[in-house]
Amino acid sequence: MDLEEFCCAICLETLYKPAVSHCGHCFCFWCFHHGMSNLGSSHCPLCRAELRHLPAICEPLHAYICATFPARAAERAAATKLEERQSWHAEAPEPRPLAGAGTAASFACAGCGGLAAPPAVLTCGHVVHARRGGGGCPVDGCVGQAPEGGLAPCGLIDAILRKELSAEEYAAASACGCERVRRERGGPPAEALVGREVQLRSLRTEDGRAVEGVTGVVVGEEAGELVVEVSVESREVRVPAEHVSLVEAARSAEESYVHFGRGCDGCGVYPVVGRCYRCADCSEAIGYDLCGSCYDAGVHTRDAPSGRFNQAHKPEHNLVEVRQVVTVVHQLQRAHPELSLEQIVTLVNAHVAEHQN
Amino acid sequence: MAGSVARGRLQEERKMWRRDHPHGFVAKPRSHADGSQDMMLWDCVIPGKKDTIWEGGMYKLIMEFTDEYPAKPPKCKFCPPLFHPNVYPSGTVCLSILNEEKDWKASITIKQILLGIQDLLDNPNPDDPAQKEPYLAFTKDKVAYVRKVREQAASMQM
Repeated sequence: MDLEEFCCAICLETLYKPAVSHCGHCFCFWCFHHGMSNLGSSHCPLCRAELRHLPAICEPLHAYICATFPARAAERAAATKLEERQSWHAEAPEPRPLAGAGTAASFACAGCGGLAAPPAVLTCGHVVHARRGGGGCPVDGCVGQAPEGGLAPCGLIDAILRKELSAEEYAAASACGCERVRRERGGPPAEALVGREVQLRSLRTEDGRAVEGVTGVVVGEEAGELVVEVSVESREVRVPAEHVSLVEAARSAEESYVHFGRGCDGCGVYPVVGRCYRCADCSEAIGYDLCGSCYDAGVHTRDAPSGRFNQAHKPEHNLVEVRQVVTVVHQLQRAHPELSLEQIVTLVNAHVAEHQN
Repeated sequence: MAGSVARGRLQEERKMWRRDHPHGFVAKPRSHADGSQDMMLWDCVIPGKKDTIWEGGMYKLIMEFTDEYPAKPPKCKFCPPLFHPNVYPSGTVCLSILNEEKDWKASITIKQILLGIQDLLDNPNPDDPAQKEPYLAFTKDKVAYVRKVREQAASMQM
């Protein structure tokens, strides 16, 4: 493959420490990060898919580029190091040496171990088979995930595999049982739904009408189906678990608080919403932060808790909860839920500029 | 530092443009009297396509980039404003590839933008009018439209 094919659409230079979005697009780690909004939702610069997580380097892809174009990769490494020191005051993680670097063998699916064809990349940077549904990373202890909408194939890695593999090898790699295994991981198990409020896809009433959007409370489970006490007609109905969706309780102000500019060093969610914890002992300017669920899961106390920006975080470090300071932007956000955060910030900036003149 | 991605990308665009660009086009960062360059403001020239009523004109355009570039498109503005159905009275070009909500993508280069605008000159989009007079002329009085465009081309030679 030509060097031009490994071009980052943001800087137009050769991809360096590439991160792959769930929509399958590749950007340099820093290009990806700087292209994100620190206020609210971010979008892929190529297809506008919503991006909710900080970039994570796709190590096999990085290794492939370094092995195929060593001189160019070294140039990009030197230029990036300089910029990290002068402008960004933070470091991208250093990918570990990889078995089979530069060959198709390094693009193994983290789920089944076979070659990931067609390949996709989780929010943690692990390569897996492309899939339709969401779910967690199959690697033990990894908090990476696929968003609800699934993972689109990465065109660049796919081109590498198609070049390195014969048509028969590619077909064999794509015929794995991964999809079935992953389906079982998706969605909460039936027993976890007992006592929760759910919405039914549709309900047939006693006089035969189909009603949509009826809510009810799960009271039990019978023969693989949920028993739901519905709010209309006060009766119980039996429905398959996939025909209900959880009704999220209205979120309190604390749960919906946005920590502008703070990303989670565990799962990578950016910005963090709700509870947020910061390490009091990490000295890096960028800091080490965790979202509520990664903190609860104890991501910071694991033996190899790697920050998303190469922080030297240690399991014995102390984390403190970040105080939720309600700024004028938060107040405006609450008062005007119809406005996007970007619109609010534009208004605030215009207001400030007017007062300065 | 804010905008370092934008500046890096624009340096790369400058290099690519120097290596190769379409004949008759100009695109360069604005130079100040003291010799410094403003990478975020480019002066461009788009030639009218051969064998169209726009031929002969050299249309000056300013591209304004923000720190969010290339996540967001540059603002492209004809200076002086142009008589064209899809150019606002201010000179700003109305084109789907320059609209963040529509077809803008980070991978679109300055060369592609300028070629896209050149193409728009002779292929106005009547579904997206931006200026009343040229829009009405284009849709209702083609003869007057052609005469006005030819006059404009003659007045914008270099």
